[in-house]
Amino acid sequence: MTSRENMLQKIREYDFTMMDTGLFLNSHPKDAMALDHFRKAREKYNKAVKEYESKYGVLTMKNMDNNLQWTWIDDPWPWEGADN
Amino acid sequence: MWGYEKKLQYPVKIKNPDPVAAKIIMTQLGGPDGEMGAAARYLNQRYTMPYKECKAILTDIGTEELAHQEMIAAIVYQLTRNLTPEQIKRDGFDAYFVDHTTGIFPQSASGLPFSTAAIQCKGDAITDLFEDLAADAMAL
Repeated sequence: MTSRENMLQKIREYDFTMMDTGLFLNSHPKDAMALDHFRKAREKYNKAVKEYESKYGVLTMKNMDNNLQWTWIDDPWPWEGADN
Repeated sequence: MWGYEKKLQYPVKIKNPDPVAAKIIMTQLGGPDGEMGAAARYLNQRYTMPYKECKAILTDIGTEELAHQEMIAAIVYQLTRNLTPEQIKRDGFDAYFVDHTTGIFPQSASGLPFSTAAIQCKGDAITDLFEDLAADAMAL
């Protein structure tokens, strides 16, 4: 596994943790343990995304901050099964 | 509204084409209990949902189904990449190919195009949730 794939896999794990914990919180909005679990995953997610995007390009168009070229369009796109 | 994240929810990397598997897996995208149906169910049922917990859940799982669509479509796309004319004929992919080439056309395994006839939206919380349970007993 390349370091890009490694980093993206970490992001996926934190993302999935947030999403699933969020679903639980939708029906248990005051659960302290779940709230804490979500917060911890979000901290890791934000850190990992920042690091990934600085090296390999943005994951969302809203994070584009390149004034020279619109790299959002750059290959590979996720469904192509390349190293992403 | 929605935004796109340039990643799959789980990576899809398929080396060898397999059009027979692709035709079966396609039903998980556009079949009666596929991801498109699931997203259409949840995201349209939420408007008449009276409870905030359920509005949130239908919104969030409906959104997640969109990410599932992308993974299934990626699987079908990669399973039908670089097919030879011999493979297309030998593996029975010719009937699909003549209409769509290797485009991703959402349909069931038997070739029925994606249809909202397989889903329901009744505007009643309990009825809609039961319908979701029935569909999810088959969907992944």
